[in-house]
Amino acid sequence: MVAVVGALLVGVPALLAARPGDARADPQELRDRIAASAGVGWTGYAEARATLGLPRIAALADVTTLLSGVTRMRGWYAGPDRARTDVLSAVGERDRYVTPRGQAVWDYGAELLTIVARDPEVRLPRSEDLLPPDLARRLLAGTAPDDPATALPARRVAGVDAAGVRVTVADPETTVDALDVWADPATGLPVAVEVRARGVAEPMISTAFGDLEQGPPDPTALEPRRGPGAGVTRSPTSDLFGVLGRGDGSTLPAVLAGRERVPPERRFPALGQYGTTLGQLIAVPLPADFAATLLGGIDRAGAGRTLTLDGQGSALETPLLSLAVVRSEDGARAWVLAGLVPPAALDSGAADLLAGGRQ
Amino acid sequence: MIRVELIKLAGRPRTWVAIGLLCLLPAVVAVFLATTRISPPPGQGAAFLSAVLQSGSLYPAAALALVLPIFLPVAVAVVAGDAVAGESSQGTLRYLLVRPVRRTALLGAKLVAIVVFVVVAVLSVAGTSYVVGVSLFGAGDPVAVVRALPEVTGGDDAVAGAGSAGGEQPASAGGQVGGSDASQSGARPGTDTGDSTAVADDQAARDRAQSSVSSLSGEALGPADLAARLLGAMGYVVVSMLGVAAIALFLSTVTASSLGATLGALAALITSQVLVSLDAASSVTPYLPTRYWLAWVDFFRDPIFLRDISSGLWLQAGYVVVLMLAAWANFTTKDVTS
Amino acid sequence: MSTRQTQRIDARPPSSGLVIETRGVTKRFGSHVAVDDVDLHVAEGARYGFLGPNGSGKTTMVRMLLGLVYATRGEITVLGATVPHRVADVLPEIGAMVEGPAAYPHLSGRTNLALLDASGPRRGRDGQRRRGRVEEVLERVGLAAVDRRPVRTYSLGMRQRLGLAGALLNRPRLLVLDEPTNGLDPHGIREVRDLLIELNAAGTTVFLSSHLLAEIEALCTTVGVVDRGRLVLEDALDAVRGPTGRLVVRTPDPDGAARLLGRAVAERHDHTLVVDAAPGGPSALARHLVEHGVPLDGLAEQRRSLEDVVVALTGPGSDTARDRRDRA
Repeated sequence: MVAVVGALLVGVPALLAARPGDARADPQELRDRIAASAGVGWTGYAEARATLGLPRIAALADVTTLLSGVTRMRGWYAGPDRARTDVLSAVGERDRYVTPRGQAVWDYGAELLTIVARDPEVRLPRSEDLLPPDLARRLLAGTAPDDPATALPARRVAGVDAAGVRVTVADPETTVDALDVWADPATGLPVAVEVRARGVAEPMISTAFGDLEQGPPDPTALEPRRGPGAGVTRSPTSDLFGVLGRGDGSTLPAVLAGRERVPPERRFPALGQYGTTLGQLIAVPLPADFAATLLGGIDRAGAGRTLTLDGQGSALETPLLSLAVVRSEDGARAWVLAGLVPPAALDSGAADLLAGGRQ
Repeated sequence: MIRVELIKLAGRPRTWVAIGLLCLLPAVVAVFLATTRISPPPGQGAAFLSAVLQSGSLYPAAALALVLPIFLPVAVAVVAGDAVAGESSQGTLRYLLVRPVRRTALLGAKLVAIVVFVVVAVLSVAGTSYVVGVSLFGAGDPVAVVRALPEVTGGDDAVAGAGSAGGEQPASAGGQVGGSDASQSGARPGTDTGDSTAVADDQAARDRAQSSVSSLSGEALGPADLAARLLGAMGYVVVSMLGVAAIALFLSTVTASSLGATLGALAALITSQVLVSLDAASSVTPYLPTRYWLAWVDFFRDPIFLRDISSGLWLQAGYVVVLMLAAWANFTTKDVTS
Repeated sequence: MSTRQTQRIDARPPSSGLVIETRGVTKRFGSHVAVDDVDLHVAEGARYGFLGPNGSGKTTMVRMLLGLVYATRGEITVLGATVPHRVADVLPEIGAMVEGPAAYPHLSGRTNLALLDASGPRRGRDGQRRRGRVEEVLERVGLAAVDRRPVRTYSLGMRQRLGLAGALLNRPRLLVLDEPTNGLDPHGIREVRDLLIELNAAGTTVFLSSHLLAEIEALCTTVGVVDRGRLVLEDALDAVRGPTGRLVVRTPDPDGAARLLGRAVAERHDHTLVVDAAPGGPSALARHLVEHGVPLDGLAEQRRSLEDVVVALTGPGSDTARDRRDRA
């Protein structure tokens, strides 16, 4: 009898959770709705699991841990310029408030509220990017309109009977094989996303809501706050690229691995964005000492691939994301190069960087 | 019967030694923190440990974080593991049963006694650590707090500069913004002590100092709010221990060796803790007894994050129901041969 | 509670007159048969001795009577209640000591008794009465003088007395005692025996298990003998120790007596002869001997000893017989 009760207690919730959804939606229509869902407000909790398996590089610890583990997030979303995301840890949290006037980051561990003037469009990935709506919209924006969309079996996610769509990426210049998105067919709000890389059976990134309430969030939750005794600091940017991007962009070529440079954002001339699809490459000049730190970090992690180049280069490659640090022979010029691209694109991009600088 | 079990529990020196040790650990940590003023780096170490330097009234939370992973479950496992097995190996079980005490009632009374033990232990830890925290770190040093809040408090903080020697808050970035206010007003209090405005300012500063504790999300917590959240966290920690208690109590009905039952329960816990941190075991993670142990921290978020807390409550309830049923089924059909 | 109990006692069929009755009780532990098909009958007011060597299943039987161990097969009725299902109803009227005393070692004897008393079902008694009861039983077993010392420091004899005190707390109608005199000195054994006889006289039925023949012989009115799990004898002690039909003759002239009685002499040890009974009984034999000039020092009926019976039933070499010799 005890065994029966135990089995019931374990089984019933598991069955309820595994109960398939029965939502139906035309895949192409759903895709369009998702792309247009940026105005849907919500309050919820999401968990993202990324299995890129990046080694921990001290200088990029935030990114490497983000892409190789579980991230727990609470979110309040009123619109693209009015949102709050709490990244939860066992001993604290880090909250990012997006307001029309800028952003604010509260770090409980550091007891510090940082008021951020502006972050560039091109920036390092951060936890908030893994929220299902953000991830889905950002990645779908990089797909080609004629990439085929097919229906996936519906899923129940955080109480939403969500219809699924798979967008298969045709572009061979990216490692992304397919994007699986489940969204509320009524509002188009994505509730779960799985990112699949070519040649890998399991999704590399999967994120889903655990709790979700649609509709405008409680406005009081969106006000940045700071604990008594905590400090406040103002910073022009909260992103590494926001600092690096203010540098000299003259060493960036116009074309990289066959991708044309997108005109740089104002005030961030040194951020090189090549291409607008998922296969885009990002190149940013690095100060010599920072390049040395990164190269050293990649070497120490022992997972890097040494690029065969005129200069010096090490690449960290995962089935999804690849990243390389390239330095000229004389050590005067260095770049970081990254993208959801296959190794070949990284190689040719690195060569183009070295060659472009020489011209 | 419950009363008898409580008297028995209270009559054992071991009970008080366990509670004493539980209270001692946070006290020792507090003494080291207070003398060295070296707090663990942000994001590392036990929760709230770096925050207590600012206000001792948060120390009960830090103390819970310190005893929760090992000390508290060990104490619970020892007491619960001994509950039936101890009576059995002492031979007193047979005398209780022929008294007669119904086996179901005995099991229930044991469970209640264990719960009371956990409650008393958690209350003692929280109580002693509050006293230790406030006496060593102060209930939020007014000077430190007010100095750190320059642009919020503006110019009306006459008391702010009065005892600047006591402020240990490192010059934070915030200090730069409105630091001039504090230094200007610092000259005043010496001259107009005793006048009514100073008293009022004094009061205001004390009020501010009292709400000098921040939630994880940066919300200032008043004393009542803090107390409510602490109570919630303590209640949740008590419930978190019920799973351990149920495992140990069940094993205690299976074996006549208290040590066996205790170690069995601890082995289950360690297995659970290992599996919780193992990604490959994610399919069973939601059912592991220690899965939601850390969720008490969520009481200190803003708004309070109830998802894991309620999952944890359900999970512990499930463990208690299943294991107590198993214990009951085993115990009531068992030959008492010791 | 009290009214319910009274009703139940009234409702119990008085016809059987048996306080303990078992039918075909068998207990297996795995493949080992500890108790095999035992039928016990303990009459109200009896002092029943349950005799058997160590390991013969006595303790298992006692535990089954109290509902601690569940019988594999068979029926048990104690004070009219079926065991184990209804045993809780009658346990308040039973005082028991099973396989040695047990107490919380860190508490005093008095506290132990108070706790034991308090764990029982409440019967509307207040704390005062309870304390009084504890004092009373401590007095009865001769522990009134000890105080505050934790049981940990007690001698085996004191623990035994404490266990007995615990059994007496309820003023039981039935006392089930397993080896109650273990660890007591001869003086203590005597005290316990007197106490049990006194309680029995006041109406308490005593069921006592022991491996000591002498103890049973000295105390009990009825005896049940168990050997390797089987009940081999159950009878009144007087019946067991009945006359053998022979007479024991003590005489300063055993040769003359032997000559005179001839074939009737069954045994001869120095000045003592065991003689088959002749018609007319002892008086006729005495007259016969004296008339023929054989002087007599004494003449008595020969009675069986319990030992003889037990040895005959269980075979020589068993613990029971050895113990008897050791004690002699």
